[in-house]
Amino acid sequence: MKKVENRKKSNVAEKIAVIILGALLIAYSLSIILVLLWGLLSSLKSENDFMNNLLGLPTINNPEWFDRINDPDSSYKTLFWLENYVLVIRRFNFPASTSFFVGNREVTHTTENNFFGMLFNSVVYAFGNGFVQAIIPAIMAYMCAKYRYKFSKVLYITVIVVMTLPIVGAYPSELTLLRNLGLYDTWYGNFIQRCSFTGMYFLVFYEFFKGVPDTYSEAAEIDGASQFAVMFRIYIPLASKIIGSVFLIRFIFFWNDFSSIELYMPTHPTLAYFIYALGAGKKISSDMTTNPRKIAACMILALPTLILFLLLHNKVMGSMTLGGIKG
Amino acid sequence: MISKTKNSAERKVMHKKTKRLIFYIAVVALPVLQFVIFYLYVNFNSIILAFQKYVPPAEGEVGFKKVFANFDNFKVAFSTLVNGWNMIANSLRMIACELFIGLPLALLFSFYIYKKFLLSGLFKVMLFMPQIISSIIFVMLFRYIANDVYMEVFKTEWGLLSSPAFGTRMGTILFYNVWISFGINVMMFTGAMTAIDESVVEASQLDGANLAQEFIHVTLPMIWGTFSTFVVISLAGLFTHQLNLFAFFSDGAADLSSFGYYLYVASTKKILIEEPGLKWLTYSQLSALGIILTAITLPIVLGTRKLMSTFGPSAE
Repeated sequence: MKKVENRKKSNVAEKIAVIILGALLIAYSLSIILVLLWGLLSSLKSENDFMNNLLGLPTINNPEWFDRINDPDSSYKTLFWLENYVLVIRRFNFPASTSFFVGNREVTHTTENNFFGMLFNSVVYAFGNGFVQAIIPAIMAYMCAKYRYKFSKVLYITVIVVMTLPIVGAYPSELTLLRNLGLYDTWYGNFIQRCSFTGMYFLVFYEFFKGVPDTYSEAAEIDGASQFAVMFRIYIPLASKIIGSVFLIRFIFFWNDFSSIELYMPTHPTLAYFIYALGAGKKISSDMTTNPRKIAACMILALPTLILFLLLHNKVMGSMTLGGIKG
Repeated sequence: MISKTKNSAERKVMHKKTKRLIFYIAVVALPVLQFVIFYLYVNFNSIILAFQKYVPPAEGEVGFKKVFANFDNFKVAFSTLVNGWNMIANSLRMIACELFIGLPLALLFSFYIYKKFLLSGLFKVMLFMPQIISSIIFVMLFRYIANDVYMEVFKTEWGLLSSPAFGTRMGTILFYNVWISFGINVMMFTGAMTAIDESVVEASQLDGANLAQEFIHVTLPMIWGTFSTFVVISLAGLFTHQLNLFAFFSDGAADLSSFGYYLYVASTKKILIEEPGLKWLTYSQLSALGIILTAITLPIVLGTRKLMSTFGPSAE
């Protein structure tokens, strides 16, 4: 009898705990949705409407003003003509410059960037780095898993050690090296720097290739396939789904990255860097200084990754599950 | 005849082995070279840089000169460390929030999703959303909400981030960092939980385990490897984590600064020569500071790793 009672009590406590957790998660989801919704609505307001009506919907009818289109307090143009978005795309201008030392010599880089230039930079930066950071670990993991030399073991252990060692403050050394090699603030320098095979995804690929039997390569070699063909026609295509998922994750990461741009590529600003520059009050075109336009720029940056995520969220999150380090 | 055939077969095998080796070297060489330059050399050069300093050119000479600095950079770095107690405290606050609030909440949320309770699919997507949308966007929107919207709603003179009270500003930054931190953690934990053998869970339920008992005695031990990896990763970031301060304040975080933030911002200043009144360290001094901080972090990380693997819950 007592056991049954305890069981009942425990069931009630369980239900309460689940309800509390569910409520927390609902609150969390709402907080994310509300922040984004507030951003979207604010990006559709005029500056005056934003200042006077921070929380409400965009105002379009002001009875005290006869011309609701040109009324500075009305959001008619910003709501129906998407004026803030159009201005961000059309009139954006961002002069970027940096000066640094190559050995003893001072070098200066300067660029002028409009919206499309920055969009181009974002696409090249995210696509190029995403591709490099998906394919290099895949190839190296394949080599380590299928070519059982001692050096492969050394590489595997190296990856584990690098992941564990908490090295702090290597930026100055890295920047000095990049500058001295002429790689600083250049596209090719950026891609060379990103060609790293260490990190979690190496381990994901390694486990995958270890699980694929060698019989494929043996059969292909008997048929006269070269080592190159075995790798690129058999094994890498087998891992194409994981490579695609890792690419997606890295693409999203680099699309959103702004701090590496500040550090390594200051005159190749991306859209994410532009948002940072807007927030940090850096020298930008005067058209961009109103709050709703800054927020509109945020929305423009968020849109591609949001669409990509909503379309492919199973793939993106599936690969993260795959990358979960098994207990 | 037989030996001739044998020799030919041996030669073929040798030829194949050589080809494999050549291919292996050709493919592996460039990534390994990249690693040697961008990891080994960079970190080795950090040590060299820590013992050097730049001096202005003498009359008639051009450019800065590198000279041996003895332990001067370490002295400056050490005094920065001693005087930067507030930065250490901020770094510790951040890590404490992550370890004692962020990770446990992520574990509980993951368990909720793993057990497929109401709306778990939606929550999984929502928790991952801050990883998809740039942190700089969330920072900008959050800054408006924490300042302008907060002042409007509560009719206060100060916003949460513009408040003169350190506690309010720090609390807001810590809240923000926990708020956007769940995505990857929840994905990883859920992934590890899904990999638990269903028969183990069923056996525990047959033994009369309730949800809490299942979580403590089955789920947690089974995903302990993943969990301890995240604890170690968090600890490794003790002096590199920026707390998103750069996104919030650019180079003006002042009393909210953490060491990760300080190291990053100082590196963007490109300072080679020490000048009086300058609040940022030179590259050489930063390298020395980095070495000291690594020396502090390394035993903490390795010790925690060892402790967690020794005293962690057993799946038996």
